[in-house]
Amino acid sequence: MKAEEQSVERLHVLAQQIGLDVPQACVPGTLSNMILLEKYVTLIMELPLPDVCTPAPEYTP
Amino acid sequence: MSESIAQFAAQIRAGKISPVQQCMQTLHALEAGNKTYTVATHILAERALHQAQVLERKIAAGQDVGPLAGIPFGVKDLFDVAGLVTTAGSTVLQNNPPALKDALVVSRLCAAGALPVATLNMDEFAYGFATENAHFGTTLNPHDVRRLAGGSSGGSAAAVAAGLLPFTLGSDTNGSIRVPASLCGVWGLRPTQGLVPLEGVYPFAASLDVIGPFARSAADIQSVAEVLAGQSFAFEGHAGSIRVGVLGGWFAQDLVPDLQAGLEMIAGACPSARTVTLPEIARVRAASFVITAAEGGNLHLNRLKQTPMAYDPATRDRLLAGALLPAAAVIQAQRIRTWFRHLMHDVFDTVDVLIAPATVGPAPLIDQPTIMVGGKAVSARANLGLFTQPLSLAGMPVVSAPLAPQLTPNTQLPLGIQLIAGPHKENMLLAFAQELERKGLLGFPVAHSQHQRVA
Repeated sequence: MKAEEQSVERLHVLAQQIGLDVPQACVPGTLSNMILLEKYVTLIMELPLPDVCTPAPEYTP
Repeated sequence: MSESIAQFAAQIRAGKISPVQQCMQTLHALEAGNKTYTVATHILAERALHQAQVLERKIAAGQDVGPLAGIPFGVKDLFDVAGLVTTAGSTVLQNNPPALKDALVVSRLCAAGALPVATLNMDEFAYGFATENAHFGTTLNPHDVRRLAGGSSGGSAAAVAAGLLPFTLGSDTNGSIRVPASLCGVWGLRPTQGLVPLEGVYPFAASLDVIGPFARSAADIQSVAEVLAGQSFAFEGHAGSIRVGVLGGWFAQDLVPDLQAGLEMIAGACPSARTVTLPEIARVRAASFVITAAEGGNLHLNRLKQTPMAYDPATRDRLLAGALLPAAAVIQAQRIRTWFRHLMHDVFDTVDVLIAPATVGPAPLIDQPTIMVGGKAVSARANLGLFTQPLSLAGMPVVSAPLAPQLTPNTQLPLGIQLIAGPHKENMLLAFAQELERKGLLGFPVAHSQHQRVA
């Protein structure tokens, strides 16, 4: 299976997990944005953080 | 209106200028200007004139009508305005019921005497830096109509830049006030996160969303921001003793020569200025990107399941991709946010104000929407927030200020910078901005236009 086909399959698997059916017309654009976001995800996952550095969903600057 | 907002409102209060007449002139100019620049999504003529008439009666009766008496303003299309459906620059929400009341900040402005005259164009659901809207059209830059106004609050910035309105409101998640302010040559304020209430404002990425004003001067920004926040921003200290850091590293790359030179002249005017380099900014920007995509995607997920084709394709595909992000990435992004917050607090132990560019250069051409980053032409829509996105993550107050034209002789177009302070230091930040404006280093004239309102 080609890399692009694998990416499309991955997109549909992820979408199924949240009950989303991505229309065929939206696949190329969504895939392009997914690949861009994956680059950003790689960047942030590579940063080591201490365990005491907890998430900030209720943020107070 | 050559006077400040405070001076003009004082003349209205004194009965020297009729708010009804001024309102009519503003509406006339706005309707004409909108045909040229595509700044508005709705013009609120009936409501504005009614409020102006009420105001005029109160003034005649000797009543106190507030610090913004008779000042017309517009709001980005995502603020609730009583009786209107809040569409957030989209047709997706057009069948929602009309708002029952104004957004809280619109109520505060009206209570201070200001007159809401329009809702203003934006990127659909605030997801973009261009204000190229598939439903309402592209907002044009009043300084060169071949160029983008920036976004996502492009209508708000362009209306002020064109001299159509003295102030407007926008929202800023990743730079949606600071980017269009910079490209249109006007002032903008992203207040401390949480300072200005979001009640009645359609969300985008809730953990980053902030609302704030656009205006023609730092003093006007202060006049409006005080009403929005419900507090005074008077500064008791001495602006000349403020410790200044100029951001290097990430923030010193890819700048057009005039912007680089302008920043050096600003630094030269601040005796204490020194270079401050923040680490890991590429990852900080990435964290902001991921949080925005995930929260925006989740917000729209149910509608994307049902009516995906009703969205602007560019917005839709970004939201769909965001909805698919794994939890581990979003939580890591929020942990980086905590890490960056601590880092910024440490920085503000040693300096009071940081200075950074707002964009890499002037407004991109509409038919060639790219900017140069790392020697390559990249999409403007995705990358105009290069310098604003990382700072959003900190949630600290940022003024977007236009460099004075004499600092940028070769560009002929507005170039903007960011002035950043610690949380809740708006008073010091605005005092510093006004000091630089007084020195002639900041501030850009409104665009030449036949549509400008008389007042």
